[in-house]
Amino acid sequence: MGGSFGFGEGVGALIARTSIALAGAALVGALVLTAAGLDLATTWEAIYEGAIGDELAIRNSLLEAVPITITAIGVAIAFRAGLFNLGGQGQIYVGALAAVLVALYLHAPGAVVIAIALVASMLAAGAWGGIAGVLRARLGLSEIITTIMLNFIAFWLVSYLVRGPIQDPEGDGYPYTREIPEPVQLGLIGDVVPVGAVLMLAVGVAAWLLMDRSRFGLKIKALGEGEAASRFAGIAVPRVTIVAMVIAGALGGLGGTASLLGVQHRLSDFFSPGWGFDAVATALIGRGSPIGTLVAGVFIGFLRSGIQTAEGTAEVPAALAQILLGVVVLFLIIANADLVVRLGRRLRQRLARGRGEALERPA
Amino acid sequence: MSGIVKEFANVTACDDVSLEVAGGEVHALLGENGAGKTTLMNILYGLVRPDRGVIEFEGRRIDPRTPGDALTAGIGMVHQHPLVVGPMSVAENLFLGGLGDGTQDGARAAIAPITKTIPLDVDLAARVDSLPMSQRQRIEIVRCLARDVRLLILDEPTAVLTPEEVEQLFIEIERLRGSGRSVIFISHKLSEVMRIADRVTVLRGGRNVGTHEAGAMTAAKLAAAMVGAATGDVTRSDGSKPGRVRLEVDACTITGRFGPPELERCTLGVRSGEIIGIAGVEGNGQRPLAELLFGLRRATSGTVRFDGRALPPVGRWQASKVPIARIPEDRRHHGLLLGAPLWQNLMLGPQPPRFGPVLARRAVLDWARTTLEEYGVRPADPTTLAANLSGGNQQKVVIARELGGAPEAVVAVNPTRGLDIRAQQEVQERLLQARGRGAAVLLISTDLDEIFALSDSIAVLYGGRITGPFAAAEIDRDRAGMLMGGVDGG
Repeated sequence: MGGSFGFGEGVGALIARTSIALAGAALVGALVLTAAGLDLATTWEAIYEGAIGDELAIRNSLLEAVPITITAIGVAIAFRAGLFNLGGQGQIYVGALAAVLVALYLHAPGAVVIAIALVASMLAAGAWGGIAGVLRARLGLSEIITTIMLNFIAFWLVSYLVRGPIQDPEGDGYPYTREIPEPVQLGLIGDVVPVGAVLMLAVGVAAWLLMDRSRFGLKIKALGEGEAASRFAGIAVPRVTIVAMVIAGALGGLGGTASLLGVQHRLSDFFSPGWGFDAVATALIGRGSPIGTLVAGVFIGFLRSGIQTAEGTAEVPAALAQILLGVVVLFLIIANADLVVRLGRRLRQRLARGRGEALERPA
Repeated sequence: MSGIVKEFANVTACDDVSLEVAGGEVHALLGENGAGKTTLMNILYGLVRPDRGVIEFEGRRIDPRTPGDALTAGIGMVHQHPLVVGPMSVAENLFLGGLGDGTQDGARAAIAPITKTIPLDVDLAARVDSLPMSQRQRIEIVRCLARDVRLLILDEPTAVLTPEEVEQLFIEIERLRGSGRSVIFISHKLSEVMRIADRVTVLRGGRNVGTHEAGAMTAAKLAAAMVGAATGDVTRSDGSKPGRVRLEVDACTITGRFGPPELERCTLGVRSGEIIGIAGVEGNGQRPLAELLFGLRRATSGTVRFDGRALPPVGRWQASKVPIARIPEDRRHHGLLLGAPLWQNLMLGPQPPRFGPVLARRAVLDWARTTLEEYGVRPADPTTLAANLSGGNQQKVVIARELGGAPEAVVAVNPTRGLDIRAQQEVQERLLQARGRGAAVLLISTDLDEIFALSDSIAVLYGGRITGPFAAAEIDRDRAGMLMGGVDGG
């Protein structure tokens, strides 16, 4: 991971880049929709209404954003260490598995069970991410490959369990567990804000403190900027690698658990619709910065929620809706690529210089 | 070759160099590091384009733009670390060089005519990375000969060979000469040059300072020509008042995987308040010695101690408060995080100040700015990315980080390489200041001027062994030059 992301860029430039990307995405999206014979105005409106049309829409959007964003912040932290964590999906499943076991089988006051479930999910998923970290640090295996393999193992482990040992006996054979008891479910604050969203915000702030205000964060960033220089400087490269992957895994688990306790209330083998991969895209858009990723994650959540709603109301076929989503995310990733950011900076410098010269030149 | 000029960003690697090699001669190219030997040969072999100058070969003017052009013309080059594909077999590597079809039989047939001159003596099925350097070099020589090369360039071939392998190589060079081919032999080893070469050209500072019949020269004369006369020095004012030994290298040996040991029973003690300079031509053990002192590597036998305690691996230096500053040779790779702002780079030092558990951004930036200003880094803006600084300023950041915490010992490797004169002087003055404060300073440098300008005592590293140290007054440049070339003139 080269580059300077997270540093030395004005908000104006960020807004400009994002606007251009969204305009581009809207253009391509319009082409797709028109080609499919859909009415643009109706579709955009449906998406908008679905995302932030009313309190219910906002609540659903926030709920959608939570698992993606929390997982993405973990991905972003690993990212800054130069590690590509593609294992969000597996970490989500392992974390949710640990949490559902606690929630179903530990009998204690609701708040206690919730706390233990959150901790257990972070421990389990952290260990899951840590496996890839250890393999990378000790054997030099690419975490890109190992995290993908761990995804398969985690998914099929859960799939096996929810079709057998922990399947809901009254679920008519569906591959899911019993519903977790009501006191263990995460509710809303007021009528709109889910508890999970508060958790998401807390994770964002904690990650910012870690990355921008702690020595360990400096070590993580140093490793990402240059392994040789980090080793030279005396940073324990293997340890930082492993810890970064443990943090990434733990946040994946937490993200999954927030959805388990707050929305789905059961673990199934269709629990995560690809949040682990959305998280990678989100971390890219957030350029590896915790706050940037938080913002990007919330945006993606609203977008997803809006497009999903539009699927129903405006009769946008599900496949087209997914294409729209993909187009937007792709444009945002392009706009936030290191190279694009650097080009933008150079362009601004040249414009500024041109202006300066014009002023110096006598009239 | 005549009138060859090549300038890189801010150094003139070749400054109007002319060189003439006769048919059937072994022509040695002798010079210190940075003298321009390799650049000149890279130009001849089409790896580097000259800014000016003319190359003629066998009466025809040639203009090699790629190694392929050079090979077609009849010029081949064998690198010190041969450019062969490690995980593939010898036969497959020969096939990549246009010999045979990748099978052992095909390769054997293809090289049969050549091996009458140079026996390959290599298991064709062996993986190349399991072979010693000498055999890899031979594969490259054979590949060149298969292309009907009449001029063969050998770039410091003996640096990676054991003495027996050097003997074998010399026999092969004799055979090449016997077959009417010319050989350019790049080296800094005086004894080898005196033995094998018909003529010797000495390069210094990118200029040809003379071509001589080897028979008419002595090692001492060549050494003097190679190192030249002293240039302007920094002022090393006060007489040194060394104290007790702080940093010790005790009988350290590092055995190499192939070839000779990288370091052989090196012993050295640096006292507080003195600078010991380690002179030597690059590739004679500077890197392993530096890695040893930097805590990046362990000796096969022997220990490195600071104040009598063995140095831990670098990962534990901060925890055990090892007060040694380290100025690496490669500031872009080891010294700095180029993509990170300066304040982050400064925080990587041996003893960054405590800022409490939560790093207050303003306190860190203020500290970083003060440090940068103190060391004259421009711009002294801690949020600038290291990549955006000039080489001299980058080095000053490394110096600021390492020397800012008033270390008790300093290990510096080629600290002024690639810097302009002004930056060079600033860096050298910092080292002298550290010495004045009572630090034990070890300076490993391939720049002899720098060694003589700064050191209280001077040792020479040659072939992984240390000779000396001698008090600076007891050794002159000629003697050092002889030792650097492996001749102990006494």
